[in-house]
Amino acid sequence: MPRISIPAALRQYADNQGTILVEGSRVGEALSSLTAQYPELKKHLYDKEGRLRSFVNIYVKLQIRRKLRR
Amino acid sequence: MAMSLRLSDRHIAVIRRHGELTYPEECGGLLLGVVDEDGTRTIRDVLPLENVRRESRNNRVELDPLAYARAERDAAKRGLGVWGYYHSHPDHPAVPSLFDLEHAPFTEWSYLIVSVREGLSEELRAWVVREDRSQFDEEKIL
Repeated sequence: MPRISIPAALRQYADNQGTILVEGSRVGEALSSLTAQYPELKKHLYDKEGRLRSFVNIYVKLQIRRKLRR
Repeated sequence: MAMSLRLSDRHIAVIRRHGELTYPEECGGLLLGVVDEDGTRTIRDVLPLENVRRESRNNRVELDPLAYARAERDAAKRGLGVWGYYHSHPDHPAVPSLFDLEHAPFTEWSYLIVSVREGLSEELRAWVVREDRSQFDEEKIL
């Protein structure tokens, strides 16, 4: 099962866990599994239109999918 | 939500120095620490990072996402977390912009800004983003 590492700032919304086991073989599926387990995370990861927030970065085996930019 | 940030003089000096060294470009870095029982974010380490942005470096900063990921991982090993971000405003006040608001990653972070004018650091102020992301509120630095 894939594991998602949760940044310190969001752990309070995931029972203070640093790593969560999720279902799915694709990033989208894994994120859906994550927010199904911890619904409070959803508003921090997605905007009101249901899009992944621009500053959310996804790392898959240390390959960056999106940059963190100010 | 915590409304105060504990930061040592040594950490402040690191941030000021980073801003001065990179002037007239913006600089950025991370704040590592813990959250106290009363919600105060106590910073134990400051991590200056490289501005990897290729253009508009005088008013924009971009941190290497993998550097951030590594910082989270390394902080966790030390019993810390990434609880904030600092950046400099060359020749501008230490007040967050609309761009800063639109790009603030976490409402749980402290956002520290140091104003650097003509190469010298001046005011340094901390901010937090409201839960509805409508604006920043100033945070007290202890």
